[in-house]
Amino acid sequence: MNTKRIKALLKREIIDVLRDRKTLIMMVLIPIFLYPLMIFFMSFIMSAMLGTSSEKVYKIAFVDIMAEDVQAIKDILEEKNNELQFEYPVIEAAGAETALNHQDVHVYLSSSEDVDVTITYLSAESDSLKVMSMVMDALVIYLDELRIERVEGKGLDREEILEPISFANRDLSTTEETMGNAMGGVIPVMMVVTILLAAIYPAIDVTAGEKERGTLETLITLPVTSFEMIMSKFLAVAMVACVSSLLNIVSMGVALAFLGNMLLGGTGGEGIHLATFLPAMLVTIVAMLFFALFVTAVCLFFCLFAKSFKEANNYATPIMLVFMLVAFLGALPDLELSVMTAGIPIINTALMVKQLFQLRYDYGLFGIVLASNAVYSFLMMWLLAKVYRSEAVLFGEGFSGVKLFARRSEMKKGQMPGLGDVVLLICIIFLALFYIGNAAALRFGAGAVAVNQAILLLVPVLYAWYLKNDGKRLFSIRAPKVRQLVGAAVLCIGQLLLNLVISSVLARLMPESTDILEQNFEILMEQPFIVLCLLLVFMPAIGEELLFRGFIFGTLREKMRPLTAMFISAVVFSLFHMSLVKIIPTFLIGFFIVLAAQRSGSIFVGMVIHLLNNLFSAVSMKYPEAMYNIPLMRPLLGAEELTLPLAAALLAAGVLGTAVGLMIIGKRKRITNENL
Amino acid sequence: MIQAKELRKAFVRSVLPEGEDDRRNRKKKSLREEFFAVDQVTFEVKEGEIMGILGPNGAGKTTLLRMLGNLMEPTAGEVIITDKTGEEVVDAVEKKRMIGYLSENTKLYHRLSTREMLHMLGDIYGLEKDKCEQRIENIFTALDMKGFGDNRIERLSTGQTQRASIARCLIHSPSIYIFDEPTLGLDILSADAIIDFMKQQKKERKTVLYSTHYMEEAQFLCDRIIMIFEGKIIAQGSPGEIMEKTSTANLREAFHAVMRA
Repeated sequence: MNTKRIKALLKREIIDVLRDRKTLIMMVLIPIFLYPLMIFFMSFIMSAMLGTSSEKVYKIAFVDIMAEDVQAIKDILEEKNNELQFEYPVIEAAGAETALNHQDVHVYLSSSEDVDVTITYLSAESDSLKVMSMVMDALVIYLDELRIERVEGKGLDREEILEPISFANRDLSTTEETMGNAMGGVIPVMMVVTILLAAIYPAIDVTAGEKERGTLETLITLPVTSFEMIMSKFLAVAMVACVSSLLNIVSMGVALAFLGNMLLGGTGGEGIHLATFLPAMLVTIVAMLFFALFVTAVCLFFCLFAKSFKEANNYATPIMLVFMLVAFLGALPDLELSVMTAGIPIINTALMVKQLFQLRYDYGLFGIVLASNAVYSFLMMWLLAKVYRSEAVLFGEGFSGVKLFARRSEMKKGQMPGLGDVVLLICIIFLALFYIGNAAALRFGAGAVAVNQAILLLVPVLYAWYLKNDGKRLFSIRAPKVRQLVGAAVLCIGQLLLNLVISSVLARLMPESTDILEQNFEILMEQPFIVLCLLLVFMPAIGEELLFRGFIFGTLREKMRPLTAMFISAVVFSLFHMSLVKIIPTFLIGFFIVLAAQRSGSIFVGMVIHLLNNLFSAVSMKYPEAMYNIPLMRPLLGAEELTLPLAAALLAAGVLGTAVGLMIIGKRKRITNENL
Repeated sequence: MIQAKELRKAFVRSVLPEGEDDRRNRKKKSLREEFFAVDQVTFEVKEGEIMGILGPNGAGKTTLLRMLGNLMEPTAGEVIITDKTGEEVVDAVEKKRMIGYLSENTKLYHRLSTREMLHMLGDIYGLEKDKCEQRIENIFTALDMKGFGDNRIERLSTGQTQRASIARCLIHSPSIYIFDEPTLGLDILSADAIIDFMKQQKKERKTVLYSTHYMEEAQFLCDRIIMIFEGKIIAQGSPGEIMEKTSTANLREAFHAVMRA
């Protein structure tokens, strides 16, 4: 990496952005004007609404209510709301509902045998709702008056009977804290939107824009590495995003402070000390800068694949939606910043800002949030630099890796799927699992597992059939040697030891999560062992292998280096299991299986490992007591304390077993067209 | 010196299957198939030599030049570049430093002036400030750009933009020039300026590779010529040799003769 070259490229990108009027307007003028303008319009509309509401006449009808009560209610209502105007149209009991529906009256009061006064209203009409609550308040006061009258009429002590205890409430929260709590929910969402808006346009400009203007080919004639190219683009967009979002926040803050003081000054209420929020705001700015890095990385990541402005804009909408939804999640009251949530992108920043405005400072967690944002951004940049070298991106036709969108008759026999097909396949499977799987779970209970596994099995096979793929090559269908199967068994035992130690350590770190895990399996555990084996052992060993080590890895290894392909397939495999606790163990097993599949060139080797691994889990779940009789199983399965020396020894044994297993499996030449 | 060794580049294209031309089957069904845009191309160009690459549209000229310019990875074969001392340059970044690459697809940054662009390139190629300044002045004089060198590139005419493009390739004084149809769509004056430039570079013992559709231009400019069709070399040699072989009077007729064969 040459910083001088990055600097030169960055300078160019910045000049380019600054000389583009559209970006400048989006970046500077809009934030400065937008917020004061919004507040101006809001107060304008609010005052206009206040004006109309003072002229409004609220209509209340009384049907079959005693005249005495009617008069009392009217008096209280008018006394309490003396600035409003009321009218009391006379309506018939039979036509009362029609009158309400036609809004001839806002509410009507009637009496029946059981209830003396019923207020009928329309909760969907804001005026009706408002009048209803005013009438309710008046009724409560009237009721109190009646009570007092009766109690005193009987010569009793009013206080003793009507107020047996007295109570009051006292709020210790300062105005700032209350306000901060409210703002903490809103500000993260606004922040996400502003940063995204600020980053997306320049991100499109430096990627798809550069492609469309034809300067990309010029850029790659220069003696710069793809990492330097990506880095300069990343820094340029991040700078624009930071400046713009800072302007946004400052403009919003100033406008809001101005509005707040104006409103509070007008009512003569206690002013808010904005200085209380100063530290929170400063840390928020730091959080925003780190978040801007992450947003920039995500935007670049997607825009890079677009061949034109138009295509890039299409990607912008889903990115925006996902970010906003996740940021809204952060505003949920129950979600708090913890070691776990501090590592989840978007949510972590939203939670951190929320906590800051609640004036709670936990610098350790904040550190994790900032660091994880930086790490994710860097990882994405590193990945991007790898991708940016590829000609599909540089000279390409966007996501041309999708081969599904042609008629089957047009498919070339024996072709391989594209990278886009892998993404599309994962999406299809996700949707199928979401809709069909969840529907099946409601209807069949434990049988849903079979449905899910059938989806995993059928979708990739059908996909490959439609594409007329060379199934042997894609799914690595090749008879394994006996030696390789022995190796698979050894490897499976090794990785089991390894994963059991890791899992028991993880379970100690996050104890609460294991309970949830077991609950999900309760229905399954009631099944006979044979059924359990079919559902949890045989079907996953076939279906998941065909998907992850077959279709996904089979496609990836044609397009990238084997190690990268293995890594990606293992990550997808672990994410697919949708469990934060199991993410490391599933990644490891996913990686070992794909390694074994790659080395042996046969998917059956992977199936054997998967089968043995799941068999072990099934047995230990169904017959935990029997497992405890096996030496060392009690500490490994969490029934006894796992001591550090024992853990280290088992870990070492696990690594050794895995390595020996891999060695026995042996290594095969890279699969090519010729030797298949 | 630049050398192409059995270069191949595979792409995927849609083709119509043969024998399905009946009227009822109007819906054209296409098949995706792999093909070689450049197929087993081997040649070398020495210092002080101008090599012309001729061929019809879609023959694979641009793909070939992209691979030679290290913008594209060959599917098979290799590009060997040697420096003045005869030593092979291996590092990809260093290879690009040796080359000045110009094509219709290498557009310039519209919002910069030529001078700003050259300064930026100077920084990237690691030139010292004074040296860079001096070189820009020399280039402006040589290409007669003083009048518009400080205008933004978006305001330049076609000919001026093309001269700015050439200035871009010159700033690091590369030893190999790869020009993809540099005179396409230019008026006589601008085209001649570029041709003069290539002659000048030949005198300075630089290596020049260029593709063109203008046969007359190639005939009097090139030392050697390669004709390619469907990715393969169909004729090569000096213009004289090719004309002699096809017993034609000029390169245009020779081209037709080779294409017919």
